[in-house]
Amino acid sequence: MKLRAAIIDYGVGNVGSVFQALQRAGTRPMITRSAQDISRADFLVLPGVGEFSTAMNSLEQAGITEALRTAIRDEEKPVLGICLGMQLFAAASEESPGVRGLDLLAGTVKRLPADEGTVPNTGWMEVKATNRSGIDGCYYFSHSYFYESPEDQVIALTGGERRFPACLRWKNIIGCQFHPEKSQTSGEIFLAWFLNVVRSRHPLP
Amino acid sequence: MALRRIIGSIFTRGPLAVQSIAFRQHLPIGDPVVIAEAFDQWQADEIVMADITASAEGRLVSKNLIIRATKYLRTPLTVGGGIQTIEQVEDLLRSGAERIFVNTTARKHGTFVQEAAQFFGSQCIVAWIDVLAVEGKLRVYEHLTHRCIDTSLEDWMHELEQRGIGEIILHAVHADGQMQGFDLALAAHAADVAVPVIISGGAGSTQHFKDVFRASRVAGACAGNLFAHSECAITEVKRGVLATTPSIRSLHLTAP
Repeated sequence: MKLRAAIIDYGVGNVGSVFQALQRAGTRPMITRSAQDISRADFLVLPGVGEFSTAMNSLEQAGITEALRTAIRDEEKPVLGICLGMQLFAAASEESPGVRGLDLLAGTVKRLPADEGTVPNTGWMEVKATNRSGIDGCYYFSHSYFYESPEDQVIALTGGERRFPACLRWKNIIGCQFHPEKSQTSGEIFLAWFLNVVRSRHPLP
Repeated sequence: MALRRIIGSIFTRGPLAVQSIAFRQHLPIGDPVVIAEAFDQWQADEIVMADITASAEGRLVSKNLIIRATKYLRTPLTVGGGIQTIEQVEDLLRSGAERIFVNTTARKHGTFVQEAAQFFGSQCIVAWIDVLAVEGKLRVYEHLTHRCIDTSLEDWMHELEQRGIGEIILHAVHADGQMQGFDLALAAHAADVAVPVIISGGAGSTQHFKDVFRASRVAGACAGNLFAHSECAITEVKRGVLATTPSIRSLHLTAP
């Protein structure tokens, strides 16, 4: 049986390529903003283009903010947050002061320092895993904000002088600052690793 | 700092890929989707699809084309041509584009860039600037009127940056299709702004990429004709550039 993925649609951004990548990875994805689909899915994906408050407002309007919190925090459903999708795990972001995020992970979202490279940070960067996940590789980034996280949540780092987390994990919650769906072979390897995590948490019959 | 990008550009006219020569001649070369798939396989760092007559013909770059292309692509795609509204941006992003670029609209609708950057984030919104060398001076060229605008290139780049643009593509019209190398004087303008700048127009060999990466701070360099006409062209160029410039992405083991 194929894993069912609920890709959360918050109105802006590129859900299409995440859908295609998950389909190629052998899952059965659907693009949705319904609480029912969230509870039925084997895992969730928060895709990542757009702006922090726009995305939170859109979840709020669809009435699924609480459904997401329940599924992720209480039911411990595996979730992958991509780029902005990962940043939404935080309680707050410098991009939208005063707006509450999903508030599921420690840490906070900050603007990239401009003195150590261009902002936005667009392009490919070498990612180094800090554990034995094997997700080292070169990935595509496109962002102006980064997740400042406690060390015990960080499973991969990137950036030279401007080091920031490339990948976070806390129990069932996984986030990546890069776009696996647009990172060619490295991205496919990363998604395969993520799906292994999903399967190990929810063994299929 | 992100690695410097080698970008495959595809000029289109509606559903067809065309070869552009000095902006005057457009020779049809085939299905853009087939070219995009090849660029993906050859490990282009990004693909830019530009509908070069959309604005003039009052059309939008083909959404259907983006949907067809991204069904397969695992490479970031930046698209543009005829974009005038926020809704169109949303539509193109939903169709699978990673980023969009504007040219004419950035000038005609003063608040567009700002609004789009606020809504989608700066990293999504790119400006394309056509530049023409006129008597040794680099001027911003408007292809709709075949004239250069009064604002200087530096001022226009600064203005776009202030409005929240995420990246600027500088396309040398005078070098377009000539394959004589990038305009290095134009590439030097990458140092004028804090946002990433991409150089386009004139690439004819691996050496041209080495030259522009050594001589300027450009975040990436585009080629169309050079890449579209020979097998594995991007992989070959990357191999060559990697030998002297390690600041680009190395080839994955499965490279053809």
